[in-house]
Amino acid sequence: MKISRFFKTILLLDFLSGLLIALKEIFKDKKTINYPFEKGKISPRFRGEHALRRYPNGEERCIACKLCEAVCPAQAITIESAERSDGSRKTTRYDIDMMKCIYCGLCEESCPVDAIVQGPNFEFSTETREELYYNKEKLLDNGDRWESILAANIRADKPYR
Amino acid sequence: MFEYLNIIFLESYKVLFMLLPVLTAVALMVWLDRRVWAFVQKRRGPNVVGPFGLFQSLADALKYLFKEIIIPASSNKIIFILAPIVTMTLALVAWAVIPFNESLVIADINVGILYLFAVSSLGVYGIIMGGWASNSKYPFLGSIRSAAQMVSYEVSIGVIIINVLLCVGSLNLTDIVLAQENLWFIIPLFPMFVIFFISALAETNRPPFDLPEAEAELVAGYQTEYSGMMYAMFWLGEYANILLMCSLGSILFLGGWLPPIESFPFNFIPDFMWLILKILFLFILFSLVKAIVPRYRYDQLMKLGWKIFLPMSLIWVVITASYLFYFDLLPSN
Amino acid sequence: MLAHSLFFYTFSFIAIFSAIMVTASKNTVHSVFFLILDFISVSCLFIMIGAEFLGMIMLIVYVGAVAVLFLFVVMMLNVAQQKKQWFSSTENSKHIPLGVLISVIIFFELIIVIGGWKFKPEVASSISLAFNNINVSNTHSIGNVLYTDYIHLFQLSGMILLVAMIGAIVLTFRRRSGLKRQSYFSQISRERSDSVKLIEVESNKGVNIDD
Repeated sequence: MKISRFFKTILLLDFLSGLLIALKEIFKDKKTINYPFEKGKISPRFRGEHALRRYPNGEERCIACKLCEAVCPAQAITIESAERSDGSRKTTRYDIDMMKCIYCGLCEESCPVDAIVQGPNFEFSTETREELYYNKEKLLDNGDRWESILAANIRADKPYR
Repeated sequence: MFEYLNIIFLESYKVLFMLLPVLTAVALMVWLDRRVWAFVQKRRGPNVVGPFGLFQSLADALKYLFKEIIIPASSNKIIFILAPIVTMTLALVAWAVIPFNESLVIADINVGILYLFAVSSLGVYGIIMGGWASNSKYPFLGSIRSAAQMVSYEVSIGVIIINVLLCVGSLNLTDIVLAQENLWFIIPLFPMFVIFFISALAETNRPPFDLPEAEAELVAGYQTEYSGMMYAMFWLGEYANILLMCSLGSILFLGGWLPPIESFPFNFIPDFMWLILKILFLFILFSLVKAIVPRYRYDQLMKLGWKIFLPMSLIWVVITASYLFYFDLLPSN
Repeated sequence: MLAHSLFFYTFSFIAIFSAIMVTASKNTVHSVFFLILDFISVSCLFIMIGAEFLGMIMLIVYVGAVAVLFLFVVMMLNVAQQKKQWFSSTENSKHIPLGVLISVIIFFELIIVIGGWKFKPEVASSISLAFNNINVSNTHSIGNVLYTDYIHLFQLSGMILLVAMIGAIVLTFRRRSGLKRQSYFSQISRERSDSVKLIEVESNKGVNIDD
């Protein structure tokens, strides 16, 4: 061991130079965003909170084919269906257990009519677990609320599908 | 009878006035710690709750208060519940002897420094009790580690305190501060201050010596099974201990409430503010160290304590004693 | 005086109760915790009679260090909880006469000491000569006695502890052969120049690493 190295260890020179760097870094610009007030850019393919979409005329898109229920790896989706008075096949129950969901996007992928989609919203934490059992009304409500963005996202992603 | 009630009332009033600032300071220090840590890593840290995020710790405490306390079924329930209470109580009880100026102290006892040392050495029990009572592997390993670590570094802290006591000739904390009127002990005893600082890091389980709660290997160490307010009490106790070590360091080496120079701009600030500023300085150093230093390996930690710090501080005791004796500077009273 | 006696009886009750619980509790770890409680209340009693230095040293040495190691050992050994109390198990009860003998001896020794104190007060006062000065704090008077009159005994007891420590280390210290160890000293003293070499390499030539 060299003498210079010995003194370097005894006098904690490495530590002091590290401290100096730390002090310099304190006054530099922050690299993170100021989260609740600023948000990062989100890709059109972002898989966030689920939503059930409607056609422009207000008719719900879902035809209760249950492909999403079948493909869901976490088995978070439960669907029950019945024939409506006009003869079309519609869901009577469409539940997603958001705590089981792993946000893989397979439901969105499997849907033949683009009914179930995963939107850009990721801030849907709740105070109780019960609020995270999403039912059909909640999902349709999400779809109505985010429709413009959801449609834009699907359009943006279309060339790559 | 009335006299006793009067005394009890007066003392509880004093204790309350000590306890409230300390608890507030602990909450603010948690925020400051996180903030400094974030700033070194070019993050923003907690800045949403209140101005600059000052009330973040209060919000956290409120959150912990409303969380469920889970007591593991196979744990030893009494000791499990007792452990965070012991940690918190011991961390707060020690503040009774910290002098904020010559008269601003709850108990100006003769053996103040020994009392502080004793209480901080008792602090290990909260951790051992918590780790053992959880009846689970990670907490147990964490508590075993922390017991060995704290006992080892207490030895070197004790020897460093002997260095200071040789220069003062009294165990009273007020006397220790007053002995530094001409020269702060950090100047003649600088190597001891460095060793004290590093030992204080180890004593309070701070990074780079946070092996009892090393998340990479022990999840959260002795705190793994704790939740809700019990976890928060461990957490408050830990920070109260860190503040205590900072104040001990500033009293032993940085001249307590004494201003650096007894002249106009410095003695304009009230003297207890000086102690607070010194504690703050040491605490920011604590958090900077947390941000820049990687964690030690356990054998390195033990070797550092027993094979480097203990001999160094023992040799320094001999040097200090010989110097004081040779130049006839030994304090006599 | 009322508060004083109140505190005295509280602490002595806790001390005696926990001392009994040390032997009576079935769980060894609980026993150690009661031992710690005992130490703490005894040191409180020390402080109450004005021997604050002794009380604090008791806290630091016994509670802060010795009992931690006790606890350490008891936890590590993971002693199985005793199903039966010592006095009710037939296997252990044959040791009772020996225990009774020892306690009788200790009891009579205590009687002799206290009796001597009572009937020949000058013996006690010759020992506590240094403590008579009221102006000096008891830390000072202990130091005065310990480092003047009893310096040899004091040093001797230190030597005994040192011998015990060295003996324990020698007994457990053995270096097995064929064991790979990390030397952190050589690890941190490794320089960049020792381990990294920058060399110009011509293309299509390569480097022989074994050099």
